[in-house]
Amino acid sequence: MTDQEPIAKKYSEAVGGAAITGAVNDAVLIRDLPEGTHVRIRSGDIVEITANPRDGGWLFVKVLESSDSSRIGTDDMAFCVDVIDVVRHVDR
Amino acid sequence: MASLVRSFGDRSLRSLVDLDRGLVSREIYVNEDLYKMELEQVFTRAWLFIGHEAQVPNPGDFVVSRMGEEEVILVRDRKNQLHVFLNTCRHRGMKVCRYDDGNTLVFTCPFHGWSYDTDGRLVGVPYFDAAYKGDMDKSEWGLPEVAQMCNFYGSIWATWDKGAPSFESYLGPYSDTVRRAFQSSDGEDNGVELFNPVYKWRIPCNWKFPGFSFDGDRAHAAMTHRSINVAAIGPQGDAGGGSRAPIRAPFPYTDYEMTVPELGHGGHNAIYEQPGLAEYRDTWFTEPGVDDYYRAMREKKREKYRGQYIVGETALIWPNVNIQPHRILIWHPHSVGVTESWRAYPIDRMAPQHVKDAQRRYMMRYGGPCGLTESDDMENWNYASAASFGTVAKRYPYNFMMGAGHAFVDEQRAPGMTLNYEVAEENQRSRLRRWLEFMEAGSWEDIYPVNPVSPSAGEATKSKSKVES
Amino acid sequence: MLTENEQGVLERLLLREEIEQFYYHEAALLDDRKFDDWINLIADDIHYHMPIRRNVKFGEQARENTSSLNEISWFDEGKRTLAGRVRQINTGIHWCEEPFSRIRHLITNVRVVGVDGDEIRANSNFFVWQNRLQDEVNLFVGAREDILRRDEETGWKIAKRLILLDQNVLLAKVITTFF
Repeated sequence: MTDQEPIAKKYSEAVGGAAITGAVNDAVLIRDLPEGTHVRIRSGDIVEITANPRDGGWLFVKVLESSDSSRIGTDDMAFCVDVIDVVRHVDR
Repeated sequence: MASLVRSFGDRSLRSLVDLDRGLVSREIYVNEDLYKMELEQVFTRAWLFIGHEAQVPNPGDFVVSRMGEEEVILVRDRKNQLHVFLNTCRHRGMKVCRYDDGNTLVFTCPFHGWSYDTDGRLVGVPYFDAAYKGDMDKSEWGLPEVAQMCNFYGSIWATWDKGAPSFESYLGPYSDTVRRAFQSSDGEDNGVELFNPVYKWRIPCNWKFPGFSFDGDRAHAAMTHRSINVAAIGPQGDAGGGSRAPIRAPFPYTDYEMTVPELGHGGHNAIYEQPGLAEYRDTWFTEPGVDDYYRAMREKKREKYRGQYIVGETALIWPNVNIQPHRILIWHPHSVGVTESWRAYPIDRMAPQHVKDAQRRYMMRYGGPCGLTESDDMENWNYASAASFGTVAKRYPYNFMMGAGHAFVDEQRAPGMTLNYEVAEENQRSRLRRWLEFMEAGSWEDIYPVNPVSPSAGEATKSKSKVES
Repeated sequence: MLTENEQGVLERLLLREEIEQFYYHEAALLDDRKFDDWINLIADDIHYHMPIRRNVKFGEQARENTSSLNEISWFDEGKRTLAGRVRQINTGIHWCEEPFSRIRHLITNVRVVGVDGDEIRANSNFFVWQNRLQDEVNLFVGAREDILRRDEETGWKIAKRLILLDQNVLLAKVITTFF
């Protein structure tokens, strides 16, 4: 559990979660999110972190849920501002 | 063919380097314009030492290195391939790596977030779909990679010039010397690793002072290093008068300055009067048990080289790296009057810990910025450089006359080499000759000896390129 | 009459004062180029270690300073080599200290952080100024972590010294002084 997560949750609730449209979201610090964590990204997809380079900018992810069914199961990279919310925490 | 560069400002390059008489203008050590030309003409063309594969044993391992003034990253990608990349983001230039070494999945730029895989591919661009709208092809914007890289018995070398000859051709007769330097003490190839990390320090002098002196300036030692024996830093301590060098068994030989003028490489090398290697002589009186290891290893190596004449234990590989069995010395240009000196220490990978410790401590007290030997070299290079910048000082050329015109060849015992008396300036003249060739050359075609096996063949090649130009 | 608490404070103050005076004395010996007297403050079993400082990623600070066990450091040696350095300077032909540089050691932030029998652990910071020939200047700033051992002759001997120089690429061409 990282201390920024409650803030991220509060922020995403306040602005409507995936409905965020601004180009900058500084709420979620992704650097220390462990592998296996599920996060919601800007597109609305729910993805699982498969690797975290711990650079604060990017996550390697696998798409779990998406309105575009062709994306489900694919590998992708998620940029920090596109990470809207942590939806499943993993203990490190 | 590209045309030769003949001048800088209103001076011809040839007028600066008179090797027949051994007179060399101080300009080439102090002139800002010539220095900028060197970065292009020498350091983007020559094969340069990068590091050793043992520095990056696992996928994702990286270590920063340097080519000329510029920082590069030696990295082992996730498929186990080694790469050398320029450390700069293709977007706005920021360093994508500001750590000395480590292990990583990607190199992410801290400026705007462009992110590169360990194989150099640009894999992450923020706002890629929304803002670039398909206008940019990420595959064209990977990290800049060297034109050629060579893993030579574990040592890593690279050049920015795709027209450069293969690294082995570049080394010519000194390829065996470099190969042996990366053998363990028993003569097995690829038998070393490097102690971490590499020494890095700044010397206020032009890079050619140390670069062209090492393995080419035996005359300096008697005066420069007069004070070292009282410190008794050698493995034997006070025994034998406190020499900084290990004790060696007698073995009939004659020392020479040896060089390949067509290539610029050269060393203080011995020609032995009998084949094989000398037996081991105990020398580690200050470190119990170390002789036992080196003696056993030497016996294996003597067996391996029985009947062979060994030539060339050390060499300056043109332009800026000196390769020795236990140390690698690199002099990076930093500005016209500053050198960033790097020093790496190879050690037998399989050596027991007490041997590694003994060798490591010996190297730390011997050389580098805190070693007792080299500190006096650096004072001399520093103030030789400082006293050469003056308007009047520059009217007086440096004297490289020692032994000029007295070189000879010994094709039977040292094929491809040019020899001179052990205290000479033959090797420095050789490096200056190669320097002039690189500075004048329009491309590698002008400076590549086709088959550098003998001085005469090299002369023919040089003449040919002059005619064509 | 002092309370027990006050007595303890007083003892700590006196010890720190004694250590500070020792450090100032040591610095004066170095700055006055009395290297033979300085080497006499060094215990025969000293470990004198100045690691190289790496640039490492957040979270990897454990390997920021190079290890004395298997890595390269600026200094990693004992009294034999330190004494050799002193002998070399005293030849008068050790060119990087001939003529002598003007070197000044400023020792600050002295803290006694442990007492164990006749040994104490003390940390301090240093600012070392070196001016050489006309205009060559080198600045060395960092911290020291010492073990000092009580000694009848010199008051204390330096039994262990870890020197953290706050540089990565060494910006001086050589290090000819002691810390």
